[in-house]
Amino acid sequence: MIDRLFRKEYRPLCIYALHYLGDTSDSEDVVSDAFGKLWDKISSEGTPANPRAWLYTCVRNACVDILRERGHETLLPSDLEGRISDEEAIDRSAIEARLWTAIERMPEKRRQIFLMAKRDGMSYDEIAAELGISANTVRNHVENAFTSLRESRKEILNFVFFF
Amino acid sequence: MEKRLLDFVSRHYKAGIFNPAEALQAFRRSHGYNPWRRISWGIAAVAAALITGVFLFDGWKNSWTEYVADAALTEVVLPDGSIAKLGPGASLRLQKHRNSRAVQSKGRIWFEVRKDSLAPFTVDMDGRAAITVLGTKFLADAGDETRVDLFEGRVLFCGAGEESGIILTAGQAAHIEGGAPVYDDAFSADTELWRSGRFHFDGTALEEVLAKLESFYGESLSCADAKDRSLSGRFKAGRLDDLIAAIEEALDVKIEKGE
Repeated sequence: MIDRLFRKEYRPLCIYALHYLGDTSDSEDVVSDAFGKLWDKISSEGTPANPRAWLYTCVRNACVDILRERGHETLLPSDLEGRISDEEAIDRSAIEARLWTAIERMPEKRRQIFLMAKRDGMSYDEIAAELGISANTVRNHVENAFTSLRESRKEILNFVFFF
Repeated sequence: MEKRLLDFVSRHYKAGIFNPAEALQAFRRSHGYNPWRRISWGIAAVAAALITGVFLFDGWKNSWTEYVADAALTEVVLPDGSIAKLGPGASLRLQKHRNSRAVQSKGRIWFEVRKDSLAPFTVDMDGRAAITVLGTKFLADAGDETRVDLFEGRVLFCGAGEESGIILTAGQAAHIEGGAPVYDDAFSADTELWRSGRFHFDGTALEEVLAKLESFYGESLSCADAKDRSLSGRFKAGRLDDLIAAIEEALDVKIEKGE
């Protein structure tokens, strides 16, 4: 059962923690710890009624403790644009984990160009100059990247979304 | 809305992290082999390889469970939910079927004790002193010295076999001198290090960095060109060799272990 939870929930939980902590390695620590605590609980008291909810609560408590210890005033999750609610962070983390996986599965070149455009905010021309390819090729790669992301999104919720 | 999700993901995306298969393997390594299934390693991936052993002794009711940290800071969740972070070389013993809130310590251990007003938590510091607490965070050093640095809460600190001793409050420290506890002038534990499990350097002179590592790992270090060099960043308190390699690479210096 722990195996299944790991495969299904590890990445969403990491992203959920990331909304609180903003640091990927801190997030991984918190989530590994939560699985350890769940393991302890299962062996001493049996499986909680809803292990997934239990894990989310455990991760949230750990994140809030860390933020409080670091002297943060607001103990809420956030994204790049600002604060979001805890429920929103939970809902989003499932979708964001899918997006993460979709990026991971892109062919290497496509992923590299996509991240340069999206994460680093480089223009098609800048990317083309840096990689020594044409701006048109860059555009194709980015468009393909967005298509594959849209596809991955359709798989889960079965509706089209717009960037 | 959708754009915000993708922005967030692509900003933080790094190859190879948040990997469930890898995390599961690390988890199995640290949990799978232990028949009691009670030990949770906080820093699982790092700790797994570095723990020399968890020894379970025979005799059910009187059996001792021992946690030993080898070369790295090792986090353990105790049966009552309290957390112990064992410094390199430290060890902790308890009889979980008798009283899991009575532990014996050797070396430097940071405790985050879960509150339980009905059951005090006691630390027998290698037979040299005893600490009694309800719920608190503190560093118990039963290594070369016998001392306590109290970060949060209140503790009773007694010499070996004594019923009464001195009470410490948050921010105070004490050590054993001639078998009796005495207050220290200052709290000296690096709380940031013990709580986060990471060294935090911010433009810290390399000489000072090495001094910190020496005191934490109990090894002597030297660097011929340490002068005028400084280090910034957060480093996991894992194996000393890994830390040295990271610093050597970051600063392009050579650090020697031993005299």
